[in-house]
Amino acid sequence: LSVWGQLNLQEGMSTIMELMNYFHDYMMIILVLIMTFVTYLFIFVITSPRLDKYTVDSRILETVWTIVPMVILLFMAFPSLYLLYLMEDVSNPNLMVKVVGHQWYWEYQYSNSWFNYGFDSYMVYEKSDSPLFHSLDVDNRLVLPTNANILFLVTSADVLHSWAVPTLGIKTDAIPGRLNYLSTMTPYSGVYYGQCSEICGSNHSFMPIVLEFIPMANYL
Amino acid sequence: MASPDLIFKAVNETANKQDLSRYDQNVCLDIHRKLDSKLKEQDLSIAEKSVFARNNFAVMNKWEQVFPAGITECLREYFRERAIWAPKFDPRFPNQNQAKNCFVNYVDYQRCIKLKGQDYKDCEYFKQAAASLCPNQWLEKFDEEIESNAFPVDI
Repeated sequence: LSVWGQLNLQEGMSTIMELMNYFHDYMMIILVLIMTFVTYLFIFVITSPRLDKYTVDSRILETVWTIVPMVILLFMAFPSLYLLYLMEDVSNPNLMVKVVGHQWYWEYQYSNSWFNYGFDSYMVYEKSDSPLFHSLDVDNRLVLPTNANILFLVTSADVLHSWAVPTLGIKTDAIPGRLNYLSTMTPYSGVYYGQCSEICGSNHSFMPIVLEFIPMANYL
Repeated sequence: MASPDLIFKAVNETANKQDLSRYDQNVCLDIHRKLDSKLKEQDLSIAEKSVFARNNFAVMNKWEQVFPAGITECLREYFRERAIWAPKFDPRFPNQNQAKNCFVNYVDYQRCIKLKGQDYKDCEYFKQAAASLCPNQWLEKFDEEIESNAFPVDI
């Protein structure tokens, strides 16, 4: 859930999102260091009386400022590629849930070998003093088990939508005629919010997504 | 329909005179294999196996009173894994768009029941895979097209 004035990413609740948060922090350190160094050089060049104005070339300097960024880039590339390939994991899912986007609500369908249950999830229009979150809560939440590899199959019945839950690090476009898949796994119980992320008409801002994760024992 | 006797037989055949109050990986795997083979002998469908696992998971507290702790944990794990079924990763469709996966499973199901008859057990895999993958609206549309002879592929 994002709060007012939030600047950082939401806390990672799925395995992939936690790794993405760590990667983001790691990259941010490198980038801040580079920015600090460049800012210092900039100020030094402008203000320092000891600046050497008569240097025309320096082979050593050119070598150093090629090798050092190359090394920095290598340090950035390895975790990035590692995470990228990890996200494409093809582990066998435990549960498949179909998500169909409509104007302007989401429809969830659980189809298992022994039951087939679908329901619509509309935003709740409540007055400001209600305990529910304004423009984020829905009447029927999608209830899912923890510690299960869940595969979401997202499509749309009319126009483009996008199904996103930032806490889990998942987002995929809901395109009519296409069935996009998303894989996630979370060990944490809780209620996670998301919103439609592709403009889809007048009520685009009013079709939120709410996932409720409960332990597998209670789920079954 | 599977009966609880299977579980008793499977456990008694595998777990020998060991310390069963602790969870033992090897004994547990043996029990899983034994249960799998016994269920296979019963020739249950996918739905029936899931229901069997789910029902046993739901009464796990009763099983706790019967078996020692190590075995109970093993059984709980077994039932939890099998209570919900989903088709395995299909390497013919590794990319993000799974629409073709849904369609191909549906077509395979229709061809299977046309060739082998409605009651043929092995067609059930395709039916379950299509039901898991395809949104209900698509399935209804496909069914209507088949009835009105407008389905895009020859069955």
